[in-house]
Amino acid sequence: MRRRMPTVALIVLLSVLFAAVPATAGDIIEVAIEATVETLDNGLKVILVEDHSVPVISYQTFFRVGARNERAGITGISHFMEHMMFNGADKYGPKEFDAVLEANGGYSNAFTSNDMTAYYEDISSDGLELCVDLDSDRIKSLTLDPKFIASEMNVVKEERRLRIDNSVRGQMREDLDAIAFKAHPYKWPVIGWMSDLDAIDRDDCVEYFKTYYAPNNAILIVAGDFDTKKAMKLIHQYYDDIPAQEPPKPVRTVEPEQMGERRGVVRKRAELPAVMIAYHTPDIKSEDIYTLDVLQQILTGGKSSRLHRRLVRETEAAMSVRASFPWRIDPYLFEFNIKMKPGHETLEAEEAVYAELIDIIENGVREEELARAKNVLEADFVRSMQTVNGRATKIGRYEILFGDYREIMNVPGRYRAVTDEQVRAAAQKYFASRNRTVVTLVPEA
Amino acid sequence: MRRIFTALISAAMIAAAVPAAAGTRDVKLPDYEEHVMKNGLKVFIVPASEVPLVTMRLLIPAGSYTDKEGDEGLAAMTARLLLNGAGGMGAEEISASVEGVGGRLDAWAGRDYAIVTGDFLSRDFELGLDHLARVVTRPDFPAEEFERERSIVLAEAMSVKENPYALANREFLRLLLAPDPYGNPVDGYPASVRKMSRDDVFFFHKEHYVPEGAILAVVGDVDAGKAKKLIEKKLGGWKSGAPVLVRIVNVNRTEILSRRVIVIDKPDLTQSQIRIGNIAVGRNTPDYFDLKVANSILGGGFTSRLMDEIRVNRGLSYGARSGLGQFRYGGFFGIYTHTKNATLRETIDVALEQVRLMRDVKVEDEELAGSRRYISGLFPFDIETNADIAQWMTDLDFYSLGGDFVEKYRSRIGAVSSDDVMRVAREHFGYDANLIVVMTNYDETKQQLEGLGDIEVISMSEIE
Repeated sequence: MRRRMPTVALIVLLSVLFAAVPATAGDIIEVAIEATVETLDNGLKVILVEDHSVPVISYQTFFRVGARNERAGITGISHFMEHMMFNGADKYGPKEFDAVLEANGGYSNAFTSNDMTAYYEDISSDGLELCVDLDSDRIKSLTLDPKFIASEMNVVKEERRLRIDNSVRGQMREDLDAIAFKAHPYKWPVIGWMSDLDAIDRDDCVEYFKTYYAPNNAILIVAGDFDTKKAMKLIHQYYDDIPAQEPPKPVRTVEPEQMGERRGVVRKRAELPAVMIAYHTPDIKSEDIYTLDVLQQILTGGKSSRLHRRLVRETEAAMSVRASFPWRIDPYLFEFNIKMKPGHETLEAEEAVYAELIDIIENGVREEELARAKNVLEADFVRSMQTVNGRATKIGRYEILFGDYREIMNVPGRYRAVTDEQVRAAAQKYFASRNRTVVTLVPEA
Repeated sequence: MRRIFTALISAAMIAAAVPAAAGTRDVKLPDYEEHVMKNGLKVFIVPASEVPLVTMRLLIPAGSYTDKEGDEGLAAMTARLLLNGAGGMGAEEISASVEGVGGRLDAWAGRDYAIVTGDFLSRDFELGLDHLARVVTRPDFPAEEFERERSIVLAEAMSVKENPYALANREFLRLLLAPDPYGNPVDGYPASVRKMSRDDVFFFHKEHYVPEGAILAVVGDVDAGKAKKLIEKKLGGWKSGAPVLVRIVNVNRTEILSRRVIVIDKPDLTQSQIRIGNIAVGRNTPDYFDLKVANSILGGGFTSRLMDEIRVNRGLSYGARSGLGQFRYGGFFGIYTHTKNATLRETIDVALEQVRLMRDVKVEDEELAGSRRYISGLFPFDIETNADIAQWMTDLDFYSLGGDFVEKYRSRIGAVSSDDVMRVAREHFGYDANLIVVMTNYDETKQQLEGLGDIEVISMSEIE
């Protein structure tokens, strides 16, 4: 068959109201997703997006569980369970999940964050029933064999050594979260503390699995080349007998308002100084999240962005500057990550960041800066949904974050609606020194 | 992120599984138009109109492979500077114009070639192409941009030394291949970058950035006829020059005749990085599909032998994989893993044993068939986006892989036999003769490494 770009289900409408005039934001991007949604009696929410443009499917399961649902003593268990989900269930025993999937031309992976744990299989269209079978099996009857728990924990410890203990950036990141939060579970790393990894036992895993891997705590998304009716029938057939569980208790702890700047220092073998600066931000329900995305673009998106210009191009104190604002369910952080050039102090970077933030608070942003940021955000949003996997992942993320994937369709409009006054007001509200956490890296020889 | 996993699964198990006949359907590139412009530029236009986006990819045979000895990093520097001022527009002006319409424009050099890519909403195709043509044909290389970029490249080289995984990769390739140009870091060495001048960049651009030998692919929501005219308008004036003669003789790429062990002593590490490799073959080799299958069995996916033995059965590492780096004029094979210092030797021994088994024991039909289905099944995911297709168009032509490469991919994978797998493993993976690079706290691991082979120790201060 002739291969086409994948977009039967994702309709991107672009109407050109003006000729190519940069920075006027005259175009309208609309994203439409045609999905079939059904919640099974056991609470599993199923979202099917049929799209025959490429002969593949992406089969994804999102669970409403992440490091945010953990407690002291079992930190890292969410991520560890992600690993254990590949270590055998009743029908497909140890090693067989991947062996069967790969031998049938499929690929699987998973990720855990503070807010969610997600699994996906990418496979050609004829692999749908295999995915339904494999995934329902492990949700129904995960084995949690003590021998595999012990061996897999060693794997996770190596992952921790790789990502954090032997990584300058990983160590700074861990310290930043630990200092910025004093109460909320966002303060510990997703991979967990080493001492907890040493201590987590099978009972912990069994309890965690029962609570959080229940069908009523999950969303199943299938995108790609399949027949919706047949797929729904198969899903009923394999999933209907999995019992619902008591819903997990909500996360109760609310991070108290920060009452003054907090600072930390990492001393480690390194070549160049670096600094991370973070400010507490609102939860996912706040309209300010779109405004903060715009600020992120204005501050560090591209060569003409404010901090790139100032720190990399003008003073040449830094080799790179990046701002990021990861969306999270509960209030998290807007952060800057700056790597210095040799001979420069992190103080130069801090001063530059604070000066730009004050300028925005006092004078707002220029019209063309705002338009540019919004255009980049809108276009990148469309780009992120070019693949079958990308679309399914987006649906899952939005289900977890907003409780409704349909928020995806509002995103371009929400970016467009951001005003210069909202940008200024958000800067004023969040970028205050008393709301700030700074971690600097002091290289040791 | 979990992962990486496997196993030799029983035939009974596969039979019990719900059947999924992966990869039975044909996979083809979409219809495309191809022509060579008067100045020698080769153009592919691939209309695909479902998303209002267009991707442009221009390949210029000016990768780090063309860097002469002492000038390492010049090709990369030239590519990095293209967007920093061209045709009278400054770096910030270009950036603001591109981002003003939500576009993306980027330029970089790899080992074989330099690439300039643009990704724009289709209504901005002309604007995007205009920028692409400007930065490629009329870069200004402003003096202050050159100096700034030089200092950033030097800082980045220092920064790599903070990342054990990346540093081990860089040093492994250098120790395996240099002074062959493929072994040099693409961005060069601090010494070569320090002595580089702006004139060098000008000259390199003049010599290498010519339409003859360059390949442009335009993929997306465009009308082929209109796109062709527009490309002619924007790039028709690009001056033709004699294509540069690239050195293709590499006296230094000698066969490895015995085992060499190089230890990079980094005392702050609690986890050691391990690389094992050998010299292999270039991209356009008749062994391509055999190598693909052999490598997949040894170290691809989650069910490979390395993953199974190192991670699943022994919990020694978070990841263990093997891979081939294949260029126009040569290539290499490598194994990549890491483990806590206490289990360094055990992990190396397990990895080497798996290489030995690939050479000495013929792979069973079932494992072979599984591997072939795995590779074939995932192939459609490599041809999904505009950018994927643009890369296929330029690579197929640059590496002379043949117009039916994609179409025949699955049948060629399906034809690989257990004899083929054993043959290429013997020829290219290396066992008695190979290079082992270990980055570790040598004080802690010295005793373990005894007897592995001739050991040479390098301290971090010797690494640029």
